[in-house]
Amino acid sequence: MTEALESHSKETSITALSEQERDLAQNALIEFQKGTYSVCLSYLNKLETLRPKDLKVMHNKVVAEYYKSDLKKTELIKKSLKAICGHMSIPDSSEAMDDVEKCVMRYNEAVLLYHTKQYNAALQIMNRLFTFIEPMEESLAHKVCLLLIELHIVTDQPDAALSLLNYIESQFISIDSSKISVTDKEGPIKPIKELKEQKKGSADAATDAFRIKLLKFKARIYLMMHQLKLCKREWKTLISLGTPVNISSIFLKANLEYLRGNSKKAMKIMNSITTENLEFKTCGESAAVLYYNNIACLYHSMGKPNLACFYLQKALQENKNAMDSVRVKDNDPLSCQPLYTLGGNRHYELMYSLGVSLLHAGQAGKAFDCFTEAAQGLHNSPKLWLRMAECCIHFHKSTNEIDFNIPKRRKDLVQKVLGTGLYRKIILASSLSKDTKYDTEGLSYAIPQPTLEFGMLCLKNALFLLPVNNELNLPMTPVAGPQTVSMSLTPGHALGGQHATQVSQATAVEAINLKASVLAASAYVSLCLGDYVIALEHARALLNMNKLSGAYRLLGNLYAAESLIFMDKINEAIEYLKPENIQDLSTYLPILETLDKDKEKTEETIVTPIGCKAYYPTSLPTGKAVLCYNLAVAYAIRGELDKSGETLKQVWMSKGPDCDIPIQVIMLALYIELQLGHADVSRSIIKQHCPQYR
Amino acid sequence: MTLAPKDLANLLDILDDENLDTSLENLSNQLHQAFPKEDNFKVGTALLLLLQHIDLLPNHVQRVMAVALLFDLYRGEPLASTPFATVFVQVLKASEETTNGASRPNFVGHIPVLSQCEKNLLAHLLSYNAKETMKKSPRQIIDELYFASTPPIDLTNLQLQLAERHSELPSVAKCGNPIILPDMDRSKMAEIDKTTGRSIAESLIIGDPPLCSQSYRPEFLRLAPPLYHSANELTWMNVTEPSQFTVEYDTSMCVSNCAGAEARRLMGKAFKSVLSLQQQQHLVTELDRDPKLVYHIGLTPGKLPDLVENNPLIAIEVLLKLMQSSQITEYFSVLVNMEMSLHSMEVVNRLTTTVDLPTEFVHLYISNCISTCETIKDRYMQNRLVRLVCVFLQSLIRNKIINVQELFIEVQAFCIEFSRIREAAALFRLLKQLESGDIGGLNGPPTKNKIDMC
Repeated sequence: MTEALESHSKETSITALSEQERDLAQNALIEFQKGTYSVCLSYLNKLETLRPKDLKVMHNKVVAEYYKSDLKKTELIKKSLKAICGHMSIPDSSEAMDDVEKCVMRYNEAVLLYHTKQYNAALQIMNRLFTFIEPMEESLAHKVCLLLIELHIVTDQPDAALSLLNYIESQFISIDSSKISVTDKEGPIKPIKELKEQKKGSADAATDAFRIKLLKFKARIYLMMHQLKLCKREWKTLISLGTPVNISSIFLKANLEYLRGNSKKAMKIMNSITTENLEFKTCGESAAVLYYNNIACLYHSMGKPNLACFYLQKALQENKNAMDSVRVKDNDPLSCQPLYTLGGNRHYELMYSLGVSLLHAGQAGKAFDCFTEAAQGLHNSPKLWLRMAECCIHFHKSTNEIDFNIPKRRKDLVQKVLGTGLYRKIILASSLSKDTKYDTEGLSYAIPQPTLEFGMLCLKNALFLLPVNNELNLPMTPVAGPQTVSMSLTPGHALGGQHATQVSQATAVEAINLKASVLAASAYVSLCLGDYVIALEHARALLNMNKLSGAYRLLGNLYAAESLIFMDKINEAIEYLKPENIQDLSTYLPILETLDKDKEKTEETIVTPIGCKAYYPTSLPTGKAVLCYNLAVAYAIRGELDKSGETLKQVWMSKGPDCDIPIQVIMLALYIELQLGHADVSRSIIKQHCPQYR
Repeated sequence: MTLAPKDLANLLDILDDENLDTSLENLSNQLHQAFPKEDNFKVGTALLLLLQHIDLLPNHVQRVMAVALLFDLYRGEPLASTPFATVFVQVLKASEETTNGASRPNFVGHIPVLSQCEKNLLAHLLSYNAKETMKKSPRQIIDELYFASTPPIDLTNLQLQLAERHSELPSVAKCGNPIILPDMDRSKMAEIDKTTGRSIAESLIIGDPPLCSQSYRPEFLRLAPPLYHSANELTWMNVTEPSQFTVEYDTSMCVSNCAGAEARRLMGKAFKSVLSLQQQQHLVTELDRDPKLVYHIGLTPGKLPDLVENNPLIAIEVLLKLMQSSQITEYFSVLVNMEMSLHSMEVVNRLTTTVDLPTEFVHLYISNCISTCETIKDRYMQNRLVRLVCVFLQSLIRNKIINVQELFIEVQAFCIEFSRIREAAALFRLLKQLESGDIGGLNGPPTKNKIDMC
């Protein structure tokens, strides 16, 4: 039926159009713009009787009614729109015309999807719509561009967003300033400058506003991509254009300083916000929520996770207040809340952040609860699942450092002493680390609990959700930001759903760091649970990554070796325990900053690990000592006590101010002496280290 | 996993030195009656512990009993497959070594230190008639074997069998060391006290898991991984202005578009037949007036070939207007792949002289032309096309639109293949001139319009 309607409407819209109809339409538009929707609707109703099959009339009627309901009857307009224009047609050139006519309807459909957080569906529509961007009336075209970029940002595709943005800039902003030739390699930087000079001439307010929005988008994208220098440049352009300094530009600037590691400066900027306030009821976002959240970010990066938690809790409360301010009790938000407030709930993101802060503050239990709650909204995020697993690991072993504190741990060498005199027996420790095996209690592992078993499930989810193409060769000399658009044929060549031909450094690095963390955690948990085959698989996958930071390389080697030992492949295990297997102990790959392409070097972002407690072992000699100690273990298990003893001696000798050695070294020495039958030596070792048992 | 306290008491009762004159066989029967078969291992572990620690079982008689009971624990089963066979072998081997002079240190954790008499008993049990030996009472055993020397005994076979069984176990399972380390304080020579011994034995044997069955194995140091480090640990929130995206009113409702309708009608015609000069001019002026009109006249990449064939001039105008469009590549690729003709060539030629076309596109078009010339069957048409292509290429080269070097081989081969045709020979000469660095040819009269010659 809709098809018949469409073909008919196409005819009518071309052919008959009476003077009366035109007047009615004009009046309706005027009334709509005035905001008198009921009057507008009366005109539209008259128009509808004259043109009962005109889709645009039907559409506008629905829109006017929606406005009349203060944008609250979302469910209704959604259904009506669907009835009027059906589903998005399959890409087919023959239907191109039809879609040009329906652009507004499609856009509205995408807007509704955007506010109800159905981003992928919205993207699908918008990508298709973008192919008709040229024929579109300009103000609509601007809106389409902005929504499309926003959608790319919210779906975490900064690279695609940037190439799109650059293309849009080249198409729209410079369209009057003489055509830029396709071969212009300067990219979109030039047009901005040109325009700046041109500005006084053509005072096109709409284009100006559009340009400012684009600039803000660009700043946001550069921040996402950690291109701080480029971001700074955009911000300066923004200011030089005479944009009023408002809450949004202040947040951008503070964000920039935050990422540059100037938390104090960022704090000052944040606190320079004056009276301006965004109210959730009218804007769809609450300045208070954003403010508290950002302050929390700053405290976290200053190494004060507890303060960060405090502010995140404030943000959560503000968020709740904001939601309560629009929520009508017991009613479906889709029929009683204004459209732009539908997607404004930040509860789950805040919960996730709170979890991260708590985890850093060492409160893994509370953190775990936060993540469990955040999982209701962010279940597609591999990071979230990794964090949950980290809580489980933290419960199992909260720090590596304790094993290296010999004075504190040496009492654990001996469990107790029984009897006196002839009957005196020293009972040695059977194990210095917590021993775990599968929990045999009949609890389901799927119930969220901070256990290693549940951690394993989380890690499986995380592995499954990892971005697929993250092994892309990481460009070590990053391409200059503005050039990521492929300019081979025409700018349009890069379009059509495949904007991201090139993945930026930041995205690639983030993906690699995430993958390394997930794999290492998986290997660790598998080992703890006694699943050695799986542990080995993960450890090998970890070591096979193209780029890997030093600490993870060490861990990969350790985990692989340990699983091999348990699988009785000691020869292979020993290969992984060579001290030359580690070079450094960094825990992540840094994101390199792109500079202007005339300066041909890249510079490492000077961001101290934000809010991180340093990972132990901190010094390279300690790392090597761990490898060496484990090598001695491998020899001892194989029965090569002499070799083991020699290796162990080396570890002992390496002890120094920058090299700690673990308590296990003494225990292994005891073991070797006992195996060799030197009971007296063993006893004296014990008495030396445990004076209480003398 | 552990003996109950009352079981241990039972065991110790059987081992009591008052049973001095009961035959070993009898004692063993008592043991088997007191404990079900599945407890054998626990009992054996307890016996072994008592043998390992002389202070817990100081009495000769008791030790003799313990050795015999341990030996007889798994009676009826092949010795090599019983869990404590290794103990017997190690005890006897150690004694061999000491007699051979290779002095082993006084204490090796898990191997019980047995007296000569006890070793002799073991040797008898292992090699001679075990049944006969078992019939004797502990007192008899001590009397007979106390001063005897250990009879030579061949354990090779048993050792082999044990070694075979052990090779099936992973190294990690074989490297354990008991965690009980005796530390006799000889300075305070306290007398043997039965009850103390008993309570110590109890605390070693009873427990879950009992201390006597625990062992220390070389332990890997397993580092926990670091917390994941992300560039955005906590998500910073910027202002996103969600209210800027809202439902839009379609302002194009009932807005008449007469000019557009006429243009659309003409375009529809242009796909099918040649337009009159007047009609063409009308269409072009309409297109010039409204830069967005070009998108509304019903042109799609699929329809472009028809337009090119029927109205090349309109096609050129339209394509020039679409240069900024995102669809232009699609139009280009249609143009490249359409059947080669005078009109398509004319369109491409005009485009090359007015806008910067992507080089890939031009190269693709040339390759396409050449291959069409080579494959065409009709001789007359072939000649015509070759001449056209040659003139087209000359024009491109002279206008410096293409860099000949990139297509040199292809074009040269083309010229040689069709050297019979005058224009091809001319193109070949031009190529040679260029190769020799003589650019004079390029400064000749502009050949822009030569394409009209055919």
